[in-house]
Amino acid sequence: MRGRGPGVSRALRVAAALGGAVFVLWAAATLTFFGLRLIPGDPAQAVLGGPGSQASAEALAAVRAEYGFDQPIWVQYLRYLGRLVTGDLGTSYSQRQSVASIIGSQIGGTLLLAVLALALAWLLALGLAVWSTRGGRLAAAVGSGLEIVAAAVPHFWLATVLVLVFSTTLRWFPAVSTAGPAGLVLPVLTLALPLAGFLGQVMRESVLDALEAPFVLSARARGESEPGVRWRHVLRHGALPGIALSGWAFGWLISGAVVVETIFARPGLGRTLLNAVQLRDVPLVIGVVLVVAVGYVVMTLLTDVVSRIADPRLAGTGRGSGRGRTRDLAQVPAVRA
Amino acid sequence: MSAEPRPGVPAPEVLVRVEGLRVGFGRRGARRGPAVVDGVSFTVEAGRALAIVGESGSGKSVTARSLVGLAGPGAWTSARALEVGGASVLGPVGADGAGRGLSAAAWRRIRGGEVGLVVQDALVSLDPLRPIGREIGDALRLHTRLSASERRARVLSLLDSGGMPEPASRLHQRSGELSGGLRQRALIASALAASPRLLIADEPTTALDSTVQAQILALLESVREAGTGLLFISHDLAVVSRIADDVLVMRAGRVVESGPVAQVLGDPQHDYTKALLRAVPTGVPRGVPLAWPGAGSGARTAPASAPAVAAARGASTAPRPETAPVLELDGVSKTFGGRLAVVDVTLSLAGGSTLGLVGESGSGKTTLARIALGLTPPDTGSVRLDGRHWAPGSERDRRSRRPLLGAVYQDALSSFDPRLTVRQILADALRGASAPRPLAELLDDVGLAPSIAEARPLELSGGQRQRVSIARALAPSPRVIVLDEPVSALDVSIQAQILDLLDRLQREHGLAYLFISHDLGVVQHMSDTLAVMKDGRIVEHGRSSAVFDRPAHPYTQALLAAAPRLHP
Repeated sequence: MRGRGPGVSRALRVAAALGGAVFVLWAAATLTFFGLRLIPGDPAQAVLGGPGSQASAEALAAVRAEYGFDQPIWVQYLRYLGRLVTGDLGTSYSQRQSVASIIGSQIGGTLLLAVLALALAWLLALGLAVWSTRGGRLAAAVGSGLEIVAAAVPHFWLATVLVLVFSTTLRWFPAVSTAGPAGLVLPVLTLALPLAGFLGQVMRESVLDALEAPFVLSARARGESEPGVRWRHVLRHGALPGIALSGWAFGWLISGAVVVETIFARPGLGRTLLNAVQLRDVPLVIGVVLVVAVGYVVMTLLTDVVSRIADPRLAGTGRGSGRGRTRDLAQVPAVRA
Repeated sequence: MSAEPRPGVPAPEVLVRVEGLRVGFGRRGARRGPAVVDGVSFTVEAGRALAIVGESGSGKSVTARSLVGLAGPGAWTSARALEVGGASVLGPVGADGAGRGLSAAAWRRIRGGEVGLVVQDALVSLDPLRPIGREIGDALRLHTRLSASERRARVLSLLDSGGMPEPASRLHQRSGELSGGLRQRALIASALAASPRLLIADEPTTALDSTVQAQILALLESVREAGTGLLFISHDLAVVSRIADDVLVMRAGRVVESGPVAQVLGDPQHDYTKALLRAVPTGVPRGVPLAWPGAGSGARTAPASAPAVAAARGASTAPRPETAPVLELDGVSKTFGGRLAVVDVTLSLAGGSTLGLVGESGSGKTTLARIALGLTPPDTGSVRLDGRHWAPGSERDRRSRRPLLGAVYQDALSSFDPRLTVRQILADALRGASAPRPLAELLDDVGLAPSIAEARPLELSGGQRQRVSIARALAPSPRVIVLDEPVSALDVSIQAQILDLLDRLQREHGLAYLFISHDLGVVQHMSDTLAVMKDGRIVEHGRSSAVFDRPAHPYTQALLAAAPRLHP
């Protein structure tokens, strides 16, 4: 591998990443398409207002012909795939408007929620990792205990507790999401706290490793102060596994958003997805799944790029690359995904 | 330290004065741990080099680091005097006599400013995520008021005077992009950046090839010539004899002997110093035991049943009769993705003899060993074992003859499954033997007590681990053992024991060794024939004595010239 020029290997890497992304999107669309067929019921019924509607047999037949439900399933699948390739996500059965416009109107709220939660989780995790490694055994025990509890708490329970404490009792924040920033606080907290627990566990481990590394002793021997050691050396090493985990975290946040948006009655992709599944609105479900998959792929590529910037050893040049890679691999089992 | 005054030079300035230093770890007061440094005294003067010599665990690094308050977490320090630059660094002394140490800010002024510390492990002592220019510039940022551009200029001149080629382009490189020698130069530059009067160098040449080692020593000598005091920590007496003015021999936290280097190394008084000197293999003929039975440190596992140890110096050095070759490499080449690792190597190893293979890191020694072991198939050429074709070919054809060939590696620990006991490890290896020997006999053969059978690798000392790994190689009664840097990770006295053991085993079992090392002294002591490897090629090959006495190839000459020798 090393014998090839860096340009070739970079081109190969990009090609492999793109191929992988296309494969993920195709797999997501296919699995969703067939998965939704497994739910019992008539899709034509869903088009005509869901299971409760009193549609006539003629109306149902007309819808079947219009939407192609009378075709064999593989024909429907190939047609659907063909439309997807041209960028057409189709029309929602239940809302009678294009899937693209529905997603367009809902995506902002969810992205805002996810990005804020990711940022907050990062801050909490790094802060906790750095604080709990300051020395004392108590701080270490408290830090690791908090992380484990936070990582283990399910979203719906955490949301309920937060609502009880901050909304019902203290009346600081609204229980039902409102338009203003105050309405964002509890949903963001609900998503961020468990994630901070996960990230914190991984980061604290690497902060501890870095603190014992010879280069930190070198820095101290140079006269670096304790905050300087942490800021200039340890923080970055601690952040590396967090960066690597952020792609995974994004997907995790979106799945959390389904719960959180429902509990706090917030508009967004998560709630749209839940409703669409209940109504068997196949185009809308696949549309949302695809958008989430795209987001996931983009985030994964992004974390890859950021990882390479933050850790030049991963860039595949120079002697240290081997060590960087093995270290990276060694961290994989730590990911409790 | 009794420094002879040089003629025409005024009395030198004392940079460090240490009297009765004690350092320990653990809580202060009643539960205070035992002292790991006990009653150490010395001074370091400007422009002179003091070497602290000792084996791992002797307390030499802790002694040096306590001068900058970095002995380690939980360390306590007490001393009659501990002065750096004329001022005490003990800080307020508590009721128990232990110094509380200076304030963090006061220590930071000393660290890097008055005392530069080049810590052990040059390869990992620079932050792998930061460019070396920043790392070196940090010392200037912390200790000077220079602007960013002035700092940059100073870093450039530091790298330049530190012998770094193309310093301007190196500024932005990270330590991972530099070779071991360049990393050490960068690390020394970062320690010297703020012009400290004293430089502490902790094993600065240990992981480096001998030619690079010579360059680093020359750099440190020039630093000392410029008037900086040097506190040099090493286990390598040859290196010490080259660079130090005075030497302090430490063992188990105490000073056993000290004085000018010529006196201590030339006419050692203490048994331990004598044992250390005797353990240096350089120039000691084959078959002469290196280890001193009375001077083994720590784990005393001197082989009891060894006739070689009992034999006096000078015994059985007669050359053994040549026998038929047991391992032959014929025109072997190997390429890794365009990089030539081994190029057209033809070597042959006679039965019962040692072929030494010497070369620097990256020269292809280990690849050659793997080809000989049948682990890496050669691109061209072939290997014969015991007169029959061995490699390349399928592992199935080799399997029945695997017991003929053993291997011992540098890092014994990582070659064991840590969950297995010694008994399980060796039982595994004995399974391959045609006529398995009893475990106790095997352990006795490598000088280990039977009680060690139930221990796990992590519970063993470095020397014991290497004995177990030799026992494992020995278990199937091989004819050839490939030894890849078998003693490089060991202290000199342990190294001496292992080399003696290997020598005895060779005699008793008629073993042939392919002995790979970067250490010329070790190879010279062990080898009958010698091959010098550079960039994948064998550049010189012949009888060991002939190569050492009359090196023909310029590279061999350079290697021999660079190898530090004891010359007190």
